[in-house]
Amino acid sequence: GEVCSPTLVSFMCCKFQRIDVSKQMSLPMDIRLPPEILKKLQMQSPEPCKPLSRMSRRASLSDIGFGKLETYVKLGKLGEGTYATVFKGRSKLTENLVALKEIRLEHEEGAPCTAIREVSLLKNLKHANIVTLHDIIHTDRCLTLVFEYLDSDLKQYLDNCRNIMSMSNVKVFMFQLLRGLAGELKLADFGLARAKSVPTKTYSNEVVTLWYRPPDVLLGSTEYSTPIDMWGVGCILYEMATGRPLFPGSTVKEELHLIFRLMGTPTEETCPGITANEEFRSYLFPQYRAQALINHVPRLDTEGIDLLTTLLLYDTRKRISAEASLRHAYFLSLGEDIHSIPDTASVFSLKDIQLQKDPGHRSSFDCFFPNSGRGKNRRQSVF
Amino acid sequence: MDLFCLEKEPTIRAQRDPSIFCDNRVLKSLLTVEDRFLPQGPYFERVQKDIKPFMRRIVATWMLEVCEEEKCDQGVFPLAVNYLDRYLAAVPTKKCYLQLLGTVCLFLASKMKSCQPLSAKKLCLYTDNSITIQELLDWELVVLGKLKWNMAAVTPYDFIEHILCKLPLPEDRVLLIRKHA
Repeated sequence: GEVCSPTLVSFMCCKFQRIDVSKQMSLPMDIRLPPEILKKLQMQSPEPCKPLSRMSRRASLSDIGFGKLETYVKLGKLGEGTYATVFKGRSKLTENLVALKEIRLEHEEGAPCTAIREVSLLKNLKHANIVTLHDIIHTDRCLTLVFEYLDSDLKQYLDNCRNIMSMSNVKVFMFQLLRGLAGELKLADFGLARAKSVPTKTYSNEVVTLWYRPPDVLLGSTEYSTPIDMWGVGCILYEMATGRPLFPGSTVKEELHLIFRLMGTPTEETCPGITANEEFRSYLFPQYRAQALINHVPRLDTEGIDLLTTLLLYDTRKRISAEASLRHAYFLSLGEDIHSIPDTASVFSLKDIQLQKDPGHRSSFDCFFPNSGRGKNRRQSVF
Repeated sequence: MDLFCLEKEPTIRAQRDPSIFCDNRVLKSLLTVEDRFLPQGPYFERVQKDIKPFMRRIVATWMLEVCEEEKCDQGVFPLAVNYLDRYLAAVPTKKCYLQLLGTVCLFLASKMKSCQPLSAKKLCLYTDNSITIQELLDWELVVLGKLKWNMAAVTPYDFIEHILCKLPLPEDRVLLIRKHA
């Protein structure tokens, strides 16, 4: 199945940044090309005080290779979905790695609605914590989206540091995740709230496993709104702090059982309306009492435990929002400036925000930053 | 014997999300984004030679009738008209293609907004088969290209909920006003 929900899209695309990536090679609309690229392409750099006319800017963008398939080299297949195939690739312009998502437009019903929604929403979005769409190439019967290439996801990252992350990195990653989700408001701004009405059964299993689903959805709630994601955020906070998933259930019943055993079986008080829920009643769960989270996540400080608790509330109206959680006491130690950086800037643009060495990390820093400049020279000197 | 199954698969849809409607940033953002999707200039004089204002009215009325007949989501019609105007403001078009263009705009707008988009076949039927499915699919790519895949336009319809939730109105009046807005 395909994912149509903006919230989910942003959730998937939320990336954990490790290096401050320059975002200059972005969408052609307001692009400023780095001088070295212009030089490389033997183009004259435009006079700084004289803005390019729209026409000449468009022409020059096309000249240097934007919107052209030849600009990208395919390196290998990363995955295949029902309407798209994703390849790893390299841009001949910047030498950066990219992800090429090829969408087939020839279907019985023409261009897939998921493709139309994805492209038009991403074009309107620019946020340091949402994956950047660099280029769009429209050939005869195929549309190729060029994304920045993210070298590893959270799971790979945790594997690399043997599941022991520095708690200060947990905090920075959490902040980035919540920033991306708070930015999700922008996605919804574009009048696409309707796209949220896609049933949960069409979610691709790989993206939303049962593990991150809140009990209200597991119990058949069709109300799809932002608190759904916040439950998942809580699960991820736990996973980063402990190195293991919080509720790794393989069936709906097992998932609910794991949740209730830790958080307590819901009551009318903790989850209004639950006693009338037929599905809940039919499971006949034992009456578990809520356990103290601190015993399960000993490495998380008091504020962290408080944040985790408010993320994992049964009552969706009481569950903390992405916006509010950015202001939670847990993040006070990151300083005040982190709230005033522009959406398009990375949190690492602040000099005080730096990642620490993870206690469990393997051999060298290079394995975390295979694509960063760091360590590259050292490797080259070996040869 | 044919068995007819009259139950329709229930459509699962989102409920109002307070984090969208109670946040002023969304309204501000809508206002900023709206500008980017306004059709440029008086296109009847500058761009179109063949198409006259009354023809746009005829095709828009037909589009509205299709939306009403198909009980489309309310956002579909204004979005389709936004695509129509933006296309006409950019590309000189012969009047014989106007209904085809209107159909493509409905097709695209319903793909953006509806849980179950209008099918190509059904839309062609509404034109009394004056256009073919292949024409519709070919033109879909043309329109997407000309509009540069910028399909997430903001229309006046998108503001209604935001304004309604700011008005001090009793619940029954809100329903009435929403209906007439």
